[in-house]
Amino acid sequence: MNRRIDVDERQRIARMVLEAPVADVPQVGRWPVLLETLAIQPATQNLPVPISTGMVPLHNHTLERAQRRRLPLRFLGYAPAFSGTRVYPGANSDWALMNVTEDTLFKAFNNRLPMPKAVKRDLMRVTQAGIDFDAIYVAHEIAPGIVRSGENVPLDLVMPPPPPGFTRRANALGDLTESLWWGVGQFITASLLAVGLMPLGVATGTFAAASYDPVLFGLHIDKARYAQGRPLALWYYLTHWYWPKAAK
Amino acid sequence: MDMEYISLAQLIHRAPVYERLPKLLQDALRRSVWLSLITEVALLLVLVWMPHHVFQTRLHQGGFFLLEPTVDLSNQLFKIGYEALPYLFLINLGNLFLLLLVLTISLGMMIPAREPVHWLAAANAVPAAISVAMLAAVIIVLVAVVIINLVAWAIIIFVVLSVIGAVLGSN
Repeated sequence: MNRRIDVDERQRIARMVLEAPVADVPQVGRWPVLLETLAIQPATQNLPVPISTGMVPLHNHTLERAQRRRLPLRFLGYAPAFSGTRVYPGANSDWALMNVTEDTLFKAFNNRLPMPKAVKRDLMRVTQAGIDFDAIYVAHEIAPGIVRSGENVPLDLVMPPPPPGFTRRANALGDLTESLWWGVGQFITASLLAVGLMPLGVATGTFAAASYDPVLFGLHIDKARYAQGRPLALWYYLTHWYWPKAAK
Repeated sequence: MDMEYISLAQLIHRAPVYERLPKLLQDALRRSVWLSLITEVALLLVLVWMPHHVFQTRLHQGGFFLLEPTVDLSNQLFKIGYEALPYLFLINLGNLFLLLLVLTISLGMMIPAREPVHWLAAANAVPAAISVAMLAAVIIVLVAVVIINLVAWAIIIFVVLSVIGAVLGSN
């Protein structure tokens, strides 16, 4: 009886290995480097345990909805949903990957992740298509050699610059009020003392700041399968963006 | 230890829009808010404590004020001041309230604030600056009226003394 179960189990595992979705790993741009450095397996062959059968319909549902709505979702492969920060050396920079709930930026904004309006709109299209993910992981591109795996990423490495449009308008308002008060001062001074113009230096300019490159991943977590003590997950690319250069 | 996860739906629901992230008030704007606050408090104290009959004062030609146009100008200013007093008081009181609102929202301008707060802080400067300019203009005109009449008196005294001197000299 036990032998029969064992055979069935092996057959089931073999079927899962064959039927399990295989990621069509993108070979353009920085994708190969990113996926390699993030240690995401495109197929289940190298996994210590096969994924649960229930994950396949979930995956198919996700991809089918994404294709129907022409969403830029992309299945990347398999990796455990780990905890802590993992830092992977990239070509020109390091990548710090973590659960978004452990992200320094997320914590700094009171458990909220700021994102550009267009990105938020795109992600809303994903949920409106009936797709949701159990967990979100974020990869921050950071300067090489600063952070090691297991360490928290310092906030200043991932903090976006102030929004440039708002910054420009705020500076203009500051300059305007400065000019107004200066005008009042000049009016009173000139009227009372008949003195000349006073110099006022209001310097504005722009500086180039490092632009960071966060990438968001959505995970379908297989709560029945654990690898390295962590639940196995199907990883999907959700979106990425560049923070704009700061205007001061 | 169980990992804490956040679903995509929850993440989007909570995510603040980057373009609308709050920002610290710019230095110049901060200075402007303090200037406006000082101005408004000072103006309101003046408007509350200054005896209202000051604006009902009317100058008359003769005595110190020799020149009729300066008397008319001063009386016009007093009249305008008297009529504008309630409006000035209301505008400055409203502005003071908005300034305190800006300071409360931004916790004394120590924490970042959303864009409307920046606009409000900038707008606060307009009534305060106009009030200061108007008050200064009134004071300057009144001082000028006094100076012009003083000069007129000086000329008259000089002419009279010259005439007296000339008469005494001819004798």
